[in-house]
Amino acid sequence: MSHIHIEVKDLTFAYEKDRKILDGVTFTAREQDAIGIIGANGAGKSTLLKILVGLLLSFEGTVRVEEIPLEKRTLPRIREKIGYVFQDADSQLFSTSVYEDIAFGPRNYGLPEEEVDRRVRLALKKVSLEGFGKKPIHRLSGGEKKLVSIAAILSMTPDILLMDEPSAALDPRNRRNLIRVLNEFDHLKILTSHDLDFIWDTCSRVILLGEGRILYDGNPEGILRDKKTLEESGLELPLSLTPREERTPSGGQ
Amino acid sequence: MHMADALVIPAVAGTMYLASSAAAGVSVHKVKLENDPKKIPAMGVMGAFVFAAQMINFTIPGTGSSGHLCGGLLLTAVLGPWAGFLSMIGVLLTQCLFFADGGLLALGCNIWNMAFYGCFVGGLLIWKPVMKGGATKKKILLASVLGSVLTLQMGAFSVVMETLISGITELPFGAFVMAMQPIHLAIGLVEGLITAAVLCFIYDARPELLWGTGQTEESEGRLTAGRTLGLLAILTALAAGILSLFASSLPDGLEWAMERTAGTSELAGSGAVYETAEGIQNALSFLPDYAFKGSESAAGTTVSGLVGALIVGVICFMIAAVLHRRRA
Amino acid sequence: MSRITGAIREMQTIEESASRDQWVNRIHPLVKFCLTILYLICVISCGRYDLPRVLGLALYPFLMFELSGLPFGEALYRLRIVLPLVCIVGIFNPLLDRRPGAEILGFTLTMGLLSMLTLMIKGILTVLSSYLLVASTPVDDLCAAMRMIHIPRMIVVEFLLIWRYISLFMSEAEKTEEAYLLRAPGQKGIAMKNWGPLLGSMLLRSMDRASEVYEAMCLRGFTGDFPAGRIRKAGRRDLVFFVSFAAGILLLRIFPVLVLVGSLFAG
Repeated sequence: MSHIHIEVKDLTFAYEKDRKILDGVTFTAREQDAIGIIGANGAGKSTLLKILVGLLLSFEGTVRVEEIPLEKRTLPRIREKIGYVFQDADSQLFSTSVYEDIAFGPRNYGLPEEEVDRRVRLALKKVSLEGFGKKPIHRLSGGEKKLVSIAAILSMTPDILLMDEPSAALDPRNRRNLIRVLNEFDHLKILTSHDLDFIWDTCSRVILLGEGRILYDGNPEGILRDKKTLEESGLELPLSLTPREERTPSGGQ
Repeated sequence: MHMADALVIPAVAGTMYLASSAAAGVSVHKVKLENDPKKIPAMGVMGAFVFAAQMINFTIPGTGSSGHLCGGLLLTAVLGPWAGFLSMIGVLLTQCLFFADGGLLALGCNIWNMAFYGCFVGGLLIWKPVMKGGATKKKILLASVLGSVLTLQMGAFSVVMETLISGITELPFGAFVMAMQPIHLAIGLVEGLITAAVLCFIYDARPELLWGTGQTEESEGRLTAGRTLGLLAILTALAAGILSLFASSLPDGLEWAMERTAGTSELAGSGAVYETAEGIQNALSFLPDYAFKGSESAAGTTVSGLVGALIVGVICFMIAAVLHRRRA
Repeated sequence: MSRITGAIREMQTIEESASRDQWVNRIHPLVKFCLTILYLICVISCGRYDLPRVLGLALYPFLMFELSGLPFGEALYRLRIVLPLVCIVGIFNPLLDRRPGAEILGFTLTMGLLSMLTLMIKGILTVLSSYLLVASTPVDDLCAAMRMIHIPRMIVVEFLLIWRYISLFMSEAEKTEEAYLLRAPGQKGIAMKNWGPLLGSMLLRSMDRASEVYEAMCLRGFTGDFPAGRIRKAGRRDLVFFVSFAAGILLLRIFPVLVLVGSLFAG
């Protein structure tokens, strides 16, 4: 069960010369992993995800997805295995109605219309949005859009799920809903977040990125209770793990 | 400048649809040839941008009023003329269907008046030659203002021609032109200044986004001088064809004016073009009484017609009232 | 800002009525599309003085509004853009063409007045009938109809994308303008020196959005062509609807029905 899904070796990437966003990143991810990538703004979290899904190809080092080396030639095969959920659902959902958007991927894979329909219904059920099919996307709330964009990925039955800042701007109810959906997805998932409480609720492994390097890779307990390392990386101890007496009242500094 | 359905007759609407469809067909083909799938979402998203940008009020210096953007040249400067034209079609279609701004049958006219001139005349004949050898802010200002003013003048003139040929108004040609052109000179100037301001900003921020400025030469490499000339020739032929269609169907449009002034409605039209135009007109005017010319026949039927309208109207409202009461 | 808020609201009401589950909404989109085109051609092909025939054609929108229960007020509201234009073009006709046309109760209607009234009513009818089409047909169905009459897929896809993103961009434009005007009290619009930065940064954001949308498409198997969904075939109901309404419209267009009714009574 634990064969390697993603293997990253000495990954280095720069948008401009001499400004490395990622600098020698190495890790492997297995079938059952739920990896949370944390780090301050500009630490390279989103860049790492974009590389894994083949949106940025000018990197150095090697990336293998289920034994297939990531390069331009293999992109179609790799993208069938990886689902990537954008931070901004408005970019991801470009169709007019919920149904059309979720059906876009399966239709592109040339599936018969009955199968497309089955998959759309199943995906909507997984995110508890049955009956939303006909709704226009631009009338959905932020949380609903996020769930629909996950459904649009689930309908392609990926082996690996990547999510960029999934919990940004969600209200508590949608957040709980999202945590449930993520925990029900029982393959490899990798997500980035500033929201350490969210990581705590969904991930079994945490990678801390700082200035393009991996500063920590291990179980959540090892890092999410380490106030000193977190603060050095521009992060704060998750609220749920902060001892009560240390919590500052909201707004008070 | 959006034409309403009521302002055109089927022959004019059909002719303009043919002309605009031809231009759209060429554009679709061209965009496919460019083989840049990135353009497809960009055309839609930029169309939506232009739509939103049209909603913003811009204060015109020295006057108390505000102006808006039309966007044809702006889209061309970012997407190129072919994709820009298709994007403008999308904008005009949206305006027509969902905001009743311009009619469904008059869409062909509107595409021609606003998108065709803006994208092809403004883009290919003005923007591209001016930008040759690299862009500067002065050149951007020149091309934007010149392009906008010229293309809006052409658009306004086309509106005049389409309306007159349709024989909708009693306004003499001279008065109509004098009313339309100066207004659109001002509108074009504002449009040009807004376009220039935006494009100068883009030039500072991300010059590689501007089309035809030499920065994007690789993707334009296929368009050699010979091909460009060929394309322009096709476009010119297209425009000339349309114009001669106009010219040959002009007698219809000016008939009434002449009837009153000179007492004759005969003006000889000759040649194959005229016959083609007549053919189109006949094909489209399969309905009787297409042109209700005589005034004698009108008098008698109008009265009984209005009486009939009154009677049928009363009956309709009575039925409606009964239905509504039953529903309630 | 009211202009944008108004436009967003207008979009929303059309969408709501288009997605109702009513019999008109269930009619095949192509049938409604063709019927609308037929009606429009019939209306605008009426002679310029042919007021009775144009009035007769008003029966179609009247009947459709009655049968479909679509909001008539909303349709009237849409006239505000077209009517002024039509009026400007037609308003001089009564002044320029004073030939007597018809006499009613001792009052002479000049030909100019007749042509002006005919033009205005044409203006109203064309807007009403287009409204009937869009207010009873969801945008996806409308696009399916466009595909069926072979409008290039590229244009249809792009139309869908515009539809998807206008409300997003319009509210963004509204916020941008509001934020600007809050810091520039007493100004009616955007001052000239800010035209470029304000609209330019909006344009750049849109371009970025476009490339993200492209990436999202590619990640889901997009290779340059849009897959089409299943398109429903027209059924017997659709056919009956089309034939009966088309026949009615043609009848009203070909025979001066109102004149005939009138002459029964007026001799």
